[in-house]
Amino acid sequence: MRNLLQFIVQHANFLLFLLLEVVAMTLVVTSRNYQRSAMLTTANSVVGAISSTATDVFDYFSLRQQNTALAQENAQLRSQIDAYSKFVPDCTFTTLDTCHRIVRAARVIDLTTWKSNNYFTIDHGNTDGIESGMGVVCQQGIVGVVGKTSAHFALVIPIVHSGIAISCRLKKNDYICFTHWDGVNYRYASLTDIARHIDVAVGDTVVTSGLTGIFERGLPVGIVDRVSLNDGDSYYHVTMRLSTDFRCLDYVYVVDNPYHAELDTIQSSISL
Amino acid sequence: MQYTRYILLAIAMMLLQLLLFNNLHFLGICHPFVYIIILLCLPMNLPRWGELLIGAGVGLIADMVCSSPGVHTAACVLVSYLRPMLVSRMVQNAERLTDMVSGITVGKNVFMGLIGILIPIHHFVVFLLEYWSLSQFGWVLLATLLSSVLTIIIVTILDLINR
Repeated sequence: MRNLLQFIVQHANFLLFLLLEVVAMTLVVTSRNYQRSAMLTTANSVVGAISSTATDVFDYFSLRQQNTALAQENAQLRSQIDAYSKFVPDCTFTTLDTCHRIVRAARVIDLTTWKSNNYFTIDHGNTDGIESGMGVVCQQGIVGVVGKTSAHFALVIPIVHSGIAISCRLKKNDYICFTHWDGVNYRYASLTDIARHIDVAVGDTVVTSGLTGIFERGLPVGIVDRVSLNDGDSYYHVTMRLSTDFRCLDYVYVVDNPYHAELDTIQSSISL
Repeated sequence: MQYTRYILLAIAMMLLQLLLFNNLHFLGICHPFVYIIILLCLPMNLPRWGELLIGAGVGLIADMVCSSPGVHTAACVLVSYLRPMLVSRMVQNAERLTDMVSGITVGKNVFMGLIGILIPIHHFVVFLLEYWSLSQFGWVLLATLLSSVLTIIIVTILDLINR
């Protein structure tokens, strides 16, 4: 006993070092799953508030750019209205059309693109009606899924996170595949599950499938950039260039499907 | 007085890390973690357990700033553990250095040696835990090398300005 005490006293600093490292590694390991706490990230209220103030200040430098982007989006939406009004002259929409609604527009106040598990923080949280599991899109295409929310901030898991797979389709033949990010370049992601008999070529457009209920069908995801098939492989190796440039991400829209919970319940009851 | 100055420096460096250095993505792979200067310039008359706890605290705040739970804590605790051993090897009677460690108080060569060893160790741990896969070990080494060089340059410039 005396020896043990003596040992502890003699190596107190080393033992404290080990203890602190174990605590740190526990944090690292537990944060690898999606249910991680928002506390130790920029969705934390103090750091979030500082980042969002800084974003407010730096806003003024990009006003012109933002204006151009919004004007472009306006033009695009106007042309879409024109196109739709040809089909639906009196503009009556059914429930299915309004299935996905935009909960609100949000600013990205902090993001990384260099880690293998990237996250970014937006400046609205559950007091604004944002909940985990909602989809996040931007003008260019889809962005990711809300992972965790705090009162005023939310942490979003983007496509450029190695643990997320988004269900999508090849636009030309509606073939369903999944995105996978290998953790290196934030402009590119690969597509899995494309069997060798499928017709896929460089330049094909990839859009969301609408199968999981998070995103509506047909939102841009990317453009096929490289296709390769080794002898003996049953699946193509496909790389696509993502529509969303994550380093330029600023305003995003959080979308919600009011029937998501209902859809989930019925789908999980079938799989049993 | 010295403590006020140190705490102000620490707050300033964390804010710089959050607002400036986190947004530097030189060559897409260079990510300087300049906040580490907070731990490198601690005075030498602290008890070692105190330095370890400060290291863990700074690491936790850096984790919040960089959105990476535990990663910076692990790296900072390691730096806090190694630094006193390293300084006492490089400088005689290190305990009498009651002032902040800098290029002036320990000498330019010793300071360069100190940051030249500890910054790459810190960056290596951060990138290793952040990428979390051995298949990208080459990428981790490259990121460590380039980012350490950038951090060392920035820390040296800050040390020169601080005179």
